[in-house]
Amino acid sequence: MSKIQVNEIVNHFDNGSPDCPRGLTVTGVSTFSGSVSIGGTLTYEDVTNIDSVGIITAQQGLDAPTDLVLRTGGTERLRVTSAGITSVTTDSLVVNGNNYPATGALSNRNLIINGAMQVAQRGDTVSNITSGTTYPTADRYRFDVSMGTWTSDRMTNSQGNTYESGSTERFRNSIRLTCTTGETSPAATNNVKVVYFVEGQDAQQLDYGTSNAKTTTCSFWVRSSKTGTGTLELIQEDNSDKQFSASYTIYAANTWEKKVITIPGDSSGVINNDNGRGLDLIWWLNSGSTFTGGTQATGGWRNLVSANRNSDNLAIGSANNDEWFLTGVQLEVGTRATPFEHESYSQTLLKCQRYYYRHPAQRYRPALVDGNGSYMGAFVTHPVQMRTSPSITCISFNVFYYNTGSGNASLVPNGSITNVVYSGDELTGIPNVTGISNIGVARDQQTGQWQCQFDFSSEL
Amino acid sequence: MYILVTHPLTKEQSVVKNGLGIPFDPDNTDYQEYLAWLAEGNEPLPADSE
Repeated sequence: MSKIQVNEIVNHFDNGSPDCPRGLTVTGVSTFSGSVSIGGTLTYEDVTNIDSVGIITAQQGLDAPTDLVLRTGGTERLRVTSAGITSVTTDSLVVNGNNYPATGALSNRNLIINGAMQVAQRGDTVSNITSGTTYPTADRYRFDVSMGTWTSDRMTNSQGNTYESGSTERFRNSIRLTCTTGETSPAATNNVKVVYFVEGQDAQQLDYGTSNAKTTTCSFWVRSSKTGTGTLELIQEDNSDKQFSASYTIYAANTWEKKVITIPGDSSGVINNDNGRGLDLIWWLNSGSTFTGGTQATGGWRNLVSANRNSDNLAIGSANNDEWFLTGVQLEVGTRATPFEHESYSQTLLKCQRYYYRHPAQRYRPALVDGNGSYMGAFVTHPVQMRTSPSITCISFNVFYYNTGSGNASLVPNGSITNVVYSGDELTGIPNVTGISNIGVARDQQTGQWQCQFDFSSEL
Repeated sequence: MYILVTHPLTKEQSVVKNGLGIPFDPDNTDYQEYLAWLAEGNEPLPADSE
């Protein structure tokens, strides 16, 4: 054996690299400072890692003999098995800027009914709201007022051209709360808030009260005439009103902004599997000192303390013409807000009618006069089983057609209805009304058609 | 003010408040409000008090 010890090996023209037609066997550690071109197949034996400081380009694709695995920082993110199963192991899957579900169901993710404010069976406007807890416009959203004077509107072209720049979400409808008479210094316990109740049996997927309690994300679009920070509060009424709260910031006045709040699961939570209130979502617009001065729930769910309920008071309604809008409400399992899950009007309407059902207008309905003309009732079948036996209101009534035995007759009941009694349940029944004078049909069980309108409420 | 009413046929009792007929159903929130109102020592008006 001999040894060549030279500084440089070149071809015989001294203008290029030497040919090695029979190959080259290198056993030591080698360094190639320039590019390496391989005309055949590059085969690695006993190679466990390739360390590239740049991008690896495989012009014909990658072909792994078993599973193809992609990792970041040593953590597996993507695996394509030899059987062709692709699995993504990550907290967040983003496609074209949209978050996709990384946990929970792929559809019907939104625990909120009427998040897009499509349905407003009661109507679009109620003015002069000064007190009480009412459902004025958009279904499922309660408006609690104990200060100032307010108008509630369900807006049907509310976002107009004021969409958030870059957003792909569009909402035609929203609720608007306008303070027509402000209150600069609210009394200590006074407050204004929007409340949404999730039915307990609809929240069981959250696994509260177990070690698998799910993190959820609440996203919503808000527009406010005032900048500052506001508070979203959640309460578990089945768990001694255990509470969570977080702030959101209004950066620009009169501009739609999307807010995302992550809510930790509660392994010691309690949400009963029933038709009662499971989770309360409360947007505080304003309050007196009883509910302010505390802190947000950075440590997770906690016992209810009044001062923590509206720690960041947006103070909407401290001046005349303050406005606050809400739409695009979504509450879903996971740590990311996925695109809002729009659904058809009919889907949303049916969901809403579990809690509230209004006859769309005064129509003729099968009805009877009973008790020798002392009361009238209309037959009702609800579109969907209501949450519980509903409360009844007779909104309006008009002519009653009946058969006298000698041809059809009609009468217009006079007077105002004083009492409404429902004989039925969550599926069907007869609202009976008394107090109508001059019914004038002194015959038991006289049936006919009555032009009337009722509404039925079994709100949470 | 709540008014006690009796169904003309079934004789079931319920209450009416401002035209709202409220069933005696423990899951009905209007009924729950009525119970809370009763617990404060209030009493409904009889049916013929309108």
